[in-house]
Amino acid sequence: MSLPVPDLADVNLLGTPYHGLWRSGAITLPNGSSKSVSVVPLNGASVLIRVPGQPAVSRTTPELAADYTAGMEWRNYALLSGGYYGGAGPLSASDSYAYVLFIDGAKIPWRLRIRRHGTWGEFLVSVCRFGLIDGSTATWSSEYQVTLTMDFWGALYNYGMPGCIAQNTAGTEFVLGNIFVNFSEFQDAMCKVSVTGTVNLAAGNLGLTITATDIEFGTRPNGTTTRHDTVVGACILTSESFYFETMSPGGPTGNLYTRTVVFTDGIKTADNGIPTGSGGAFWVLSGTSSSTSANKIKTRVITNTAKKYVWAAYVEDVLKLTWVEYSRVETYVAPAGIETISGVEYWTFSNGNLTTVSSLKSGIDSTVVVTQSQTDTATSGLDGTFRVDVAAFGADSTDGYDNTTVTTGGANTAYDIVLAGELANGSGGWYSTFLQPLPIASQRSWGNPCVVKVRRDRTGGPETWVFTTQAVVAPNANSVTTSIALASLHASWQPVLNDLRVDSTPICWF
Amino acid sequence: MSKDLTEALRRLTEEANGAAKPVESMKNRAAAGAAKSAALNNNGKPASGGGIASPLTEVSFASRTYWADKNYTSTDGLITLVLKPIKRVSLLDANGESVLIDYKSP
Repeated sequence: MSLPVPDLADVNLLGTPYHGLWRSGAITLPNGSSKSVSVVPLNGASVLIRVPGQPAVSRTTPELAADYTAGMEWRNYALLSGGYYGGAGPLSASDSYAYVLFIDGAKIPWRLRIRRHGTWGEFLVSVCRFGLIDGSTATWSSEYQVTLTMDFWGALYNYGMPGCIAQNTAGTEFVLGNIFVNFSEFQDAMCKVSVTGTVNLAAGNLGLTITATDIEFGTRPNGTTTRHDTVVGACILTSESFYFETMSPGGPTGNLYTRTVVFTDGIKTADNGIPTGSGGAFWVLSGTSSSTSANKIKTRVITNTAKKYVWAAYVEDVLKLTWVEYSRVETYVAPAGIETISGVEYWTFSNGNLTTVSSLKSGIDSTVVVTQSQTDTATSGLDGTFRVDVAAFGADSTDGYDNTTVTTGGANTAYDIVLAGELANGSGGWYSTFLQPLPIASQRSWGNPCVVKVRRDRTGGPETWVFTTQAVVAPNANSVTTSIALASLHASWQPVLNDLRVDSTPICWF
Repeated sequence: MSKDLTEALRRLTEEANGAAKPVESMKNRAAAGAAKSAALNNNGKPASGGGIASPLTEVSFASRTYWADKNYTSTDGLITLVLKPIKRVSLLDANGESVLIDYKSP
């Protein structure tokens, strides 16, 4: 179908030319004027959409001047603003689906939606043509059953529905989260989905290839223990035997000899041998002695970490995950020395120092945004298994030893991690500082890519939690300091202009 | 009838302007030979050199014809507007004469 030209005019330019920050029912345009907008964004999420290869808009200088006067700006990219495209939408709905704006291989835009199927691991996908104005009404296709992941499906079982936390610019990759049926919070389950192909409504799979991998789920092992042992220096045992020379008959000649044998880490490294007589003289052993010395130090570093991913966003087409991580690093440094146990001499590592650094970190991708840590020191002995016989050294006690072992396990929740990293707040309670998502829209829509840096103080259980806002952080780590209370906090990030705004009233970039 | 009136007006005008001219005696009608002359109505063809009487009124919206669909895409690539460019519009002038407007293909 198509639409007849209502008059003799041709179409010179087509699109949504009004852009700016929406607040209190109006957009502030580039020329400073205000344009009323009848729709209300569902949240501050401004999702970047690009049709691959879309050329830049070419405007002459006079045209640009006219555009500015009219408050217009013609762009070759789009923004989904709080779930709306310009004044159209919302593109999502308050139902059991997650919604994505997908540009297929033929550069045709589609709304794509996914819901959970009754079979473990299975989901249902359907598409609907977006943006075609020809007098017809777009309808949803039949559903195509696709396998995502068992763990994400399990996270939705009985409690939640999938929602789109974030998508890349063409919707060919997106992150689904789990929203509880009766709540508006994303929980700790996230699944990354990839879509390729050109939509073919006549095909059983709609012409699409869909795959998925888990990012996070409740039982994901996220604990790691690393033990790193190093040894430097040596233990020296010096054994001396004293001789005097004598003749028979005749008696001592006055000559003396000392045989010195050196053992380094149990291995003979020096021996000047026994003396030999000549001209009728011979040597007589008169005594022995031994001594030990050591400059050997063993260092053991035990690192326990637990990391949880709590949010997802895209910067252009690069996925950026927000995480919280707890770590505890115990560093033992102990010198070697001689210890007699039940009459037997042993080399032992003991009476060293123990330094413990516990920290709570939170960041986006490779950028650490928040760190709080505490260092404790103590005099402590190392594990007694470091004892070795004076004459025998194992490989793990010799100079140059360097060994690391890593074990994984444990499914720590974000709650566990933040709790483990708490510090005393000096007021009889504890506190922790970390990143967490902004509140979710009441109607499930694309997630806001911004996260908030908060400090949480407590004197007891969760009922005593007190949150203090410190900043809002964009997925590229750009941040704005603010103390607006969480309940009143709104934020929006313009992904192309890298303009992050916060407010106590709803805002959104159009 | 209109021709006789026109001719009469012409004569009166010339006389008023002093263009004295002997009045021809009327010929015996029977003496005039038969002759064919073209009628004013030019067999339905528009009179050359103009002659379309205003206003022009379109025959019907449905009578329009169109060129092949042309797609107009928004600058961000998300919106596609499918339009049918006009090819021919059929009209009638005030005299009921057919007038056609043919547009070039875009």
